[in-house]
Amino acid sequence: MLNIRLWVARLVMMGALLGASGLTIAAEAPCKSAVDRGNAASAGDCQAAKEKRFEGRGGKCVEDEHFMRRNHMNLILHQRDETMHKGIRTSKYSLKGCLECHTATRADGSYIPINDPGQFCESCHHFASVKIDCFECHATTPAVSPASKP
Amino acid sequence: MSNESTDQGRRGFLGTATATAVGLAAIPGLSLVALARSPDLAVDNRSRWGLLIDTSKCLTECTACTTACASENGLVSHGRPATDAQWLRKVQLKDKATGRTLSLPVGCQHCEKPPCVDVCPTGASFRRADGIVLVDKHICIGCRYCMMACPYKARSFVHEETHNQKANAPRGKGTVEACTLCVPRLDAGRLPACVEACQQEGHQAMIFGDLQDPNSAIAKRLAAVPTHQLREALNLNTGVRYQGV
Amino acid sequence: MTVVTLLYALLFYAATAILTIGVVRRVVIYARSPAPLRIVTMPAPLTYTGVVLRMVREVVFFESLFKSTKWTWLFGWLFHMCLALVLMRHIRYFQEPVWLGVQIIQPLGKYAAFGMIAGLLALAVRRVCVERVRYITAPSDRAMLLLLLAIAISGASMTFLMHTDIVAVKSFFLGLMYFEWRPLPADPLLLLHLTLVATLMIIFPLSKLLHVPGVFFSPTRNQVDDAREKRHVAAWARDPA
Repeated sequence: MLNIRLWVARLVMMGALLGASGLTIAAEAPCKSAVDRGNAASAGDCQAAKEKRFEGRGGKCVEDEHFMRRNHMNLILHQRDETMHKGIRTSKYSLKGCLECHTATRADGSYIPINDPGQFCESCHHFASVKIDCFECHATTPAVSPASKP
Repeated sequence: MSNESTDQGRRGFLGTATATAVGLAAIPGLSLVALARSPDLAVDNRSRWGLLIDTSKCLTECTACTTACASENGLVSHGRPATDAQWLRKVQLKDKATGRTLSLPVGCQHCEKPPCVDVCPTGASFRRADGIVLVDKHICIGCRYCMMACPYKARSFVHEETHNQKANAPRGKGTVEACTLCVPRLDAGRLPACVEACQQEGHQAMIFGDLQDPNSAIAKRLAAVPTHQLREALNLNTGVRYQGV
Repeated sequence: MTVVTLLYALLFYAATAILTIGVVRRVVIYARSPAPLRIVTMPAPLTYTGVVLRMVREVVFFESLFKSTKWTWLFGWLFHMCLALVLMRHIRYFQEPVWLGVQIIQPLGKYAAFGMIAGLLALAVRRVCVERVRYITAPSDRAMLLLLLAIAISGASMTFLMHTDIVAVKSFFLGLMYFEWRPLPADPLLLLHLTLVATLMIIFPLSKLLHVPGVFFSPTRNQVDDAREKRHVAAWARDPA
């Protein structure tokens, strides 16, 4: 009696593991929104999700994606101290600089606030459940008039 | 008190100087502040920014400076003067004995020994190396101790949620704010909005410049005419001086 | 599909299977084990509601430990509460959209890592420096503490020192759950953390960590003190009817 039960259990386990490996090796399924909602860029070939979110103008960020995905918060947090206390306003890491490329525009050319749902910052931050409060104070669209630009 | 002819002569000179200055300022890129610092460099204490207000040229009914300040920094009026944010205000003074009335703009005095910096529990209120006293809103917890400490009531608390902030002036609910001498413009080599507005109106009541540079207009004027700080007895060595108070 | 992704996908499927099946098996064993006598520790509740409350106090405040040794209670409780916060915060990697409760503990979860590490270090020091405890300490006790410490330190390092791409990590785990596999970023600290966690999951059903389900079956805690009112007869001692 005991033997059969033991062997059934072992077969089930083996079957589960083999099945998992087999499915893993098989081709990837098309995107589902739950997996890729905030993650268009790392979805690889998931074109539909990628097109849904506006990535940015200019084709290239100030640092490469691998670095930015991990460390953009360090740049922002460090740079703000440099700017406030020492007056260093290098545009490479300034928040205003980020906005200039990463805000999407509507059909009529006006900017969409960057912290709106589905926009650049919010989509990944909502996915990772990390609240950001930059835009409680900072402007959410780039300064339009050239006179205001530093 | 100077007599009529000296006044006329001085006004005439100032009038010409104004016209030249306004003409120069109209050229794009040129500013009346010393060469704009490269944005990669930190500020240092070789300069100290200051403001001189000539109260004899300041008109009671004129609000060019306060309007410019509000529009440059996105200050919104909620119709509640007691709690609306106010970075610069016009103060009307009257000498009871002689009946002389005076009008002057008062905002943050950018003291050398600011009481607001002393009392701030988090270090958010700080004095930059070049003399500008600022609030670091990232650190400010909104306790308002600095508002209590300021002898000039320069600071305001933001009671309402802010929307559509100007890119140059981040403001948020729950923090304290005050005149920044338009620091983003300053770092780019331009004048504060109030000074520029006063010049555009033609009043020339506000002079801005480097107090430590002996060749600047403000230093020369300070060396030439009697000027006072507000509440001088407090020995705060303010960066904002008034002529004719 | 990289080797790393495949390897970790298999590892986590296996670890989850072993954890679930192992713990369920143990719980069934505990449920079936007879409790022949009323051995509930005094002072004991007189009603079943009282038992429920006592169990809640035991699990939330570690009441009996508090009554015995305060120092052990302090560090043990600190570790467990911080572990609870950290685990709750980790739920964000397995849900989309994330529960509101998990969203709002964001600031707590970050710093609970330090509480965890402090508690674990103190417990480890206790097992080395307190003579009577050292005498009864077995290698598995030390190994368990070190494993948890390594997990906490590697996790905290990722939050505070060397960040990793958490959006991709979440995609990976959601992918495992929905069977649409996404690549795992091959950051060394992340891989270390995940390996250690998988190890923990695999040895969980074989280790003293079974005190997690076990405490609910402990007869000194979950019995009602009604030995005088009801005659307690074990199932195997009943007269065959």
